[in-house]
Amino acid sequence: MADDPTSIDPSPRSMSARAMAEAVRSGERSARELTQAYLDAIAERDGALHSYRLVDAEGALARADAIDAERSRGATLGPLAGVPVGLKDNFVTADLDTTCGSRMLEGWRPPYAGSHAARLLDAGAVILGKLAMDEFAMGSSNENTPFEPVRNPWALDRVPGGSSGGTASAVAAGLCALGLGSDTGGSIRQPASLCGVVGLKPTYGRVTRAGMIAFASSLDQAGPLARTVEDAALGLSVLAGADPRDATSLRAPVPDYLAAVDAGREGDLKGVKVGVQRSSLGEGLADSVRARFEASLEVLAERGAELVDVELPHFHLAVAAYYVVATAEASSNLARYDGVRYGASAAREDSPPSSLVELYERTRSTHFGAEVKRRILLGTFVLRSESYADYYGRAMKVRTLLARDYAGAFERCDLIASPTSPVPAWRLGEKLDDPLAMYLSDVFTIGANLAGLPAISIPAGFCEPCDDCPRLPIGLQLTGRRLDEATLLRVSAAHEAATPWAAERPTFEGGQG
Amino acid sequence: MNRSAPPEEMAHELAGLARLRLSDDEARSIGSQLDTVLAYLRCLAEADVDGVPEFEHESDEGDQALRADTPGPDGRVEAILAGAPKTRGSLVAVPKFKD
Repeated sequence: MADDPTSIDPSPRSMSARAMAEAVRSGERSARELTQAYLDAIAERDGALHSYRLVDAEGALARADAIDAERSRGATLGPLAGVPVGLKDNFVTADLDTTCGSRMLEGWRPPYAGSHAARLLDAGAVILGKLAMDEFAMGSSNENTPFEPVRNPWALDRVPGGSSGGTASAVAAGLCALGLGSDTGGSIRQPASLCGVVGLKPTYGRVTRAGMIAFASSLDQAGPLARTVEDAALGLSVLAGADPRDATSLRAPVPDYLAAVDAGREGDLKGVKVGVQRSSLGEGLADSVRARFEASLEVLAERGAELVDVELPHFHLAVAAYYVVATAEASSNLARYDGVRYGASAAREDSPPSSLVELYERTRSTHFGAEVKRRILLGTFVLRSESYADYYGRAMKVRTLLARDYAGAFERCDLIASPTSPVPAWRLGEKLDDPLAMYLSDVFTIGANLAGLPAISIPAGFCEPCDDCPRLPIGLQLTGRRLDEATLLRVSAAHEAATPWAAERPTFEGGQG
Repeated sequence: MNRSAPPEEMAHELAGLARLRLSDDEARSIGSQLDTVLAYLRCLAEADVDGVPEFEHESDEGDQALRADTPGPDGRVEAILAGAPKTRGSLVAVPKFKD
């Protein structure tokens, strides 16, 4: 299949999502043609990746036909007209099962449509299916799953990152034009980094949480994953804005994110101050990641940005604060899976429980996986009255200190640059028995969640292949001021325009991205 | 919670509170992993948090973000009950919880 955009009849999958929507609106392409191209690619290639939990071919084609019919009638089509998208499986869809990567919700058909699916559909998108994830979004590798773990399209024996690993893998391999992920501690940005795509976690409240299955409600945010900064901006512009169904969604006006991308691509970065916390680039950072990070800083400086040193004095406590707050909220949120109202239940078994407590315990013990149990138990520990002050209460105060650190740093700079992940993609199974090592891999991403700030991961090149490591993508993270996604997108677009990484596609046994 | 209790015992005790049941093997492995993570979390003690309030997200809305508190019919009772394992009429049925 020709992936060269300059050939006479390029695969529609080589187009950007923005170009696809324009082509559908103008009648140059049909939504059916685009949708079929993606369904064919999924059928041919996803057997090697397992990025989809569920593919809704029939529904997607019916939806595509409806969009084509609307166009024939002369209706005005939306900004994602005919664009085939994939949703992480923690986004509630009324007509599609939503499992959240768990046996607990296997076969669950939600009784309502979530706001994210509704907004994407209103914008004209075609939903191809639901993408695999770590169970209840808890994980950094997609291995916390009762299903087949997702593979990284750049090296099939490597993890795609997590928890939005299915989305990142599918976007990288060209199995959806735009993907939706969620990010509680880096779950959009880290897999984007490991799979070589763009992933944006917006400001807390910029995008609604209504219809996104809760993990840690004060940290969770939905956001786009895409091959280019422009498509991430397009996705955000559709998702952002107040939602009457989520009281924490922000009413601040939504800026023109695509204009910010155009400004970054075409203009320079004079006057933009990029903060770098040198003290965070120490132990645990792979040499390859350090090298690509320094090269990215040079790219930004060449475009006119000024690099300034910043210090976040409580940064080294962020992982600890995060794993207290996130597990506390998770233990509370996941109490709803009790076998009484929906989802898996011991009450459906041949020998039903004889008491309510037995129903709870049997249902939860059988249908939650090991990592979910670990986090529920840790959350239970930190919320106990005798440990609350030393753990939860203290972590929430450290969170305030960290937010103040960021506020102080942003008096000196407009955004903070760092690696996204301290290491490139690791082998499946490598860290599975060491939860603390897995948690520490989130070191660069969790600060933005704790402080509620927007952050993006963009491709920053590849590690040099060596004996035990193939050529793997590496990401650059930019963290911005509250509600200043536009600056992140502008600077990201400038970096993208000056580097060749966005055009690279993975080739893997069983397919080519 | 007795932090000096053996990790396995701590795991069983927490599981009881969280309405989970662990096998002894699970309790051993989760207990020892929790012990490692809790040891790491003790680094929080080094922060000077005197007079520091617990974190709150900035909100530009205040209570205006809340919709009017007016009850009304939902119209989705059947769809919602369709997911429940046991129902009786328009109610969810549960095993006995009181003797």
